[in-house]
Amino acid sequence: MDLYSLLREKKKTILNNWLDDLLSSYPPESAQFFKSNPNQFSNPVGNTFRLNLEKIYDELLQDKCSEKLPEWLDGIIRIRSLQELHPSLSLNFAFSLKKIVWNSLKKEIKKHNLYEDYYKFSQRIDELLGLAFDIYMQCREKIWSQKANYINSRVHKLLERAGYIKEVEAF
Amino acid sequence: MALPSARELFSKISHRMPKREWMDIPVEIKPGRYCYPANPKSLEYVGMPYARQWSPLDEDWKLPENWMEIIRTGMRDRLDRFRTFKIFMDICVRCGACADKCHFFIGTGDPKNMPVLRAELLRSIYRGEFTTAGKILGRFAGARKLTEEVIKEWWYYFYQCTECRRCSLFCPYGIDQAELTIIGRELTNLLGLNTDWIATPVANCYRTGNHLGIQPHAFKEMIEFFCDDIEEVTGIRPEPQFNKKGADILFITPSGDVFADPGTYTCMGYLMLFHYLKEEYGLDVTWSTYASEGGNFGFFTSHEMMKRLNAKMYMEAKRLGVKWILGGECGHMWRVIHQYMDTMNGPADFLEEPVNPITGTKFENAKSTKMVHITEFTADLIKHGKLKLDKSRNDNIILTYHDSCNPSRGMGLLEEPRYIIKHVCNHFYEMPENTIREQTFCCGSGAGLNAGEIEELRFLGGLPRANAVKHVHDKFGVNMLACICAIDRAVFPPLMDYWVPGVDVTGIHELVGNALILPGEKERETNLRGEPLPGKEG
Repeated sequence: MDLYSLLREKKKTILNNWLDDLLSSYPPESAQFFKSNPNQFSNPVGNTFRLNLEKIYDELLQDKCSEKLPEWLDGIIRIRSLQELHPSLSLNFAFSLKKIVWNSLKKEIKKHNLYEDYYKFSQRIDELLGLAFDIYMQCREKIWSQKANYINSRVHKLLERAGYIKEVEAF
Repeated sequence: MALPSARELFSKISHRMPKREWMDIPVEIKPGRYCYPANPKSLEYVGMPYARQWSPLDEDWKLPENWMEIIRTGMRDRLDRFRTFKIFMDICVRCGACADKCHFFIGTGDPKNMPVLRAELLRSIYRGEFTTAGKILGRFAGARKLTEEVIKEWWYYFYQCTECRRCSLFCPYGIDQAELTIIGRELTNLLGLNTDWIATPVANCYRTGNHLGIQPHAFKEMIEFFCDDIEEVTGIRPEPQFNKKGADILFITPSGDVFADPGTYTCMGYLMLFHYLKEEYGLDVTWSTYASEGGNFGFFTSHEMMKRLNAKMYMEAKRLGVKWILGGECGHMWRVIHQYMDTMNGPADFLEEPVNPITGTKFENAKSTKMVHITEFTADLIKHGKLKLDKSRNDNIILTYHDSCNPSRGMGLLEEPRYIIKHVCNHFYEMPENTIREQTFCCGSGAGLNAGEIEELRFLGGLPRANAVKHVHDKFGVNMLACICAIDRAVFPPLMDYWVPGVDVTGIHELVGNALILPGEKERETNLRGEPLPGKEG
């Protein structure tokens, strides 16, 4: 018996709990909507959460995560980083996976003495967290660089229109 | 006293939201979620009441002393005047069909952005103030007291609605949430509670003719600047006419087309089309530096202000003595024209029923308003083979089309833009069915919400639209999003950059301008943006 087999076996329960935990940061009416509507176009938030959590989970069970992992994380964080949540709450879903796995598998971990496996899996989650922070900052920086570029470009255009800027002409 | 341990502190943190009734959840005004209040000078200029400096973050919003009476009288007056308002207050059964149709709810997850609940903010006061059941049974009958908190909540949430009417499409009773938002905003306006992104454009439109306050000489200069660019690309310089008395057609477009990229390229497309039609068929079109704004920010203020700002279209048409009016690619401008103008400022019996002088087509739908949408006009020209087009010039573009809310849901303009697209572009892919045509998702920035200070809220409102664009971007390699609304053209570039990098934004007539073969033009090397045409990259 190893932890990864258990993680595969209990995948459905763990993913369900993980999604519930993520959705608990929303009001109940919204959480219900995000969870229940399966259409990816009329419920982009809920579906991104549901599908991407599963993809992230599958990646964590691989020996080596693929290059796709940042993309799956990005899908969730790009939304959460705008939803007026504190950074810690935005990324809480990454923290909470440890808790959810522990709560789901603690009996088996204790019974089969799988602490070392669990420790290694926890380390993977820590790495996931690091990646999540990077992506969160990229999203926030994107917003602010857009604002800065907009202001810069507006000022430049005004100066240009007013004839205060003369570009170098070709010889 | 010893500090609590980290474990104790963390144990008290709950990420679960409290389960309370919506009436028990006080409104929390958050920076980044509201537009800045109006500049008092702008309100004073158009005679709106209680102009003052105030801050949404302050406890005291400096409401007039008799604010309750103002609201009661304002509601009573509107219940008497607007049958729709009265009906919409009474008939909702809270079935929830609209609840998950609002792009702001879908994106933010804030329950008060569910259309049913946003309407309930107003309806609960209606019940408490105007119905016997509500007065006697109070909360049991869904009523609540009118308090300053309610006013704050109204102001906060009625400016988080873009009046796109997607929810109305799904309502079994046809309740039009946009009308409720309009009334809600009218009521807050009675107390001097407005937003600057609406009030200052209103004052500018009223005084100068367009929402940025571009003066006539500058308006003309900007258009001539586009003519320079067109000459550079094509070797042909259009000679647009301004304020020409006796012209056949008056052309009015949103001023965004004149000053904001990428709308400016759409404007070049108009200029090229008019030049072509003048050279080939002698069409006589004039621009106006007075009616220099198609957009109507009065629509976001009150019915009266909408009427006042709209009036200049007919006034200018009358002054110039044109036969009929042609309108550019704009969103809410068309909702006002299609659904209100004839009643408010008509009948325009001094104008002729619009007929395309080149094809002879009668625009039956514009028989009364005397105003034709440019995509109908251009589609008609194409249908009759009156335009020489080289669609391969747009071969670098893999296009999808966003139905802008007001032209699609507001006036049923669904086929004409697509007809043009198919004749000027070889690579066109539709987004999923439940995100286009009548079911189109709003850009998230209409109805006066395109303010920089709420950009993040707008990005969430625009998420359902961007999500559908991402789908066709991933599946078909779509790299361009077309639309027929100036607000769309202004807000989509940053929205796409955040959600779907690699997708740019265009108006339909930019594509037309690129494909149109002008008489006597030189061999083009670039498109209107100065980018190499397909095959000319080297």
